[in-house]
Amino acid sequence: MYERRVITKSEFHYMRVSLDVQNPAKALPVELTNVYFKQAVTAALTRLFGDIGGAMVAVDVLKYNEGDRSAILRVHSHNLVKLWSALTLTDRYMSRKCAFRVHQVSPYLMGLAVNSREYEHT
Amino acid sequence: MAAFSDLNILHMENVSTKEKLLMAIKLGYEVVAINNYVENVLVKDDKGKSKKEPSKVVEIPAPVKVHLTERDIGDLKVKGASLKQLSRFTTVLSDPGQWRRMQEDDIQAYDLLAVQPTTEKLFHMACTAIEIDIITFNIGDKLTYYLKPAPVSKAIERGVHFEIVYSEGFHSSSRRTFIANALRIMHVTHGKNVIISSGAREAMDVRGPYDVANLGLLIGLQEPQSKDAISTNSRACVLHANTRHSVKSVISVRSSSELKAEDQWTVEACRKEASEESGDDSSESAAEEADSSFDAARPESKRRRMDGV
Repeated sequence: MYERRVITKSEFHYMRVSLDVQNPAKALPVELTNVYFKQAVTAALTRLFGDIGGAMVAVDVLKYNEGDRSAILRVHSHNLVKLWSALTLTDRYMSRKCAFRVHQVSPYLMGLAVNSREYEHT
Repeated sequence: MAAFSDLNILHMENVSTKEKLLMAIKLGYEVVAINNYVENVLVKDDKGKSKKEPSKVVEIPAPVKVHLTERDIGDLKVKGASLKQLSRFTTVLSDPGQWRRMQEDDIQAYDLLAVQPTTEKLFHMACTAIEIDIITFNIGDKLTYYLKPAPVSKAIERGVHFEIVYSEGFHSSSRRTFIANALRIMHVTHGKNVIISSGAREAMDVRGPYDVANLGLLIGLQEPQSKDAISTNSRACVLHANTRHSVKSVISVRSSSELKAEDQWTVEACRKEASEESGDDSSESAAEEADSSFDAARPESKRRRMDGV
């Protein structure tokens, strides 16, 4: 009668991530600019999958906000699990405790426009 | 859907457990277990001492519960949820005698019991015989024994869960073995009765539930299994733990003439109930009821634990 159809063919997935560091008040050794952020993501991938495995995952930083160290990443859909787990298993950045927080994942960039989980209830 | 849970927030002397709980709340967990880890529940006699001397009793810390204010759980209140705190006791199982010690009240006071077997024999025992809820592994080190399918399937049947601690995967030194061991566990359990927990030493070690579910995909779980590993399976594990604390009783059927005088009233009660239930035309069934009556275990015997059985 009815048929459930899940469309999983989109080419890319988009993720909204931010980098949480311990004691955010204490400054990092370097300003975490977009270049350093990209480097942190690539380093995470290389650490888990090695040189080749890491290089096979192409990640684009579409937008980076230095203020809260958050970014929108674009990755090929079949590499999503790899990228996500590499980010999850990262615990240090420049010998400071840190964690990548993945806020949203969507196959459509528009999906990241709003996030009902981050509404502030006052 | 069952709530997200992290059944391994490590309680440590010098690190604030509250901070870890607040982080877990922030990330969306609704059930957490605060884990007290005691390496060995028995102290082995020193070589100089004679063996007859009773070994020293290891002091077991009391279950920890962190006081959280309304404000602390505010994020969860918005969702209409609240934080469920459980206590968990973990020890290394290196000697069969430790199980006797674990049956004592101070350890049984914990909600969840977990063991980390060190040999294949003890792993077999943990899977098949002893009343625990979680079998955990030192997942960052090479496993010294082979996980056999037979005891594992028995453990799954009994509702014992296998734990994968993801914080061991953070350090590059233990990451290799973490993935290898996790894959071995997946291979032998087929993703059944697996829970993934943080084992957080610091607040920054806790990861969000969806991140952890994704990590499950990396170590070979299917998508629904992966989500179950942090929600449904943990819940099943907590319920399994509850059964350990609940009353154990026996139902037996016998002829009403054999009943003791003080239990005779149950026959009348059953008869009355049966006739009320089925109306007028059920005199036959009522008579049948009267032949045998349930001899429910009396309160004293209910309270007595039957762990030895």
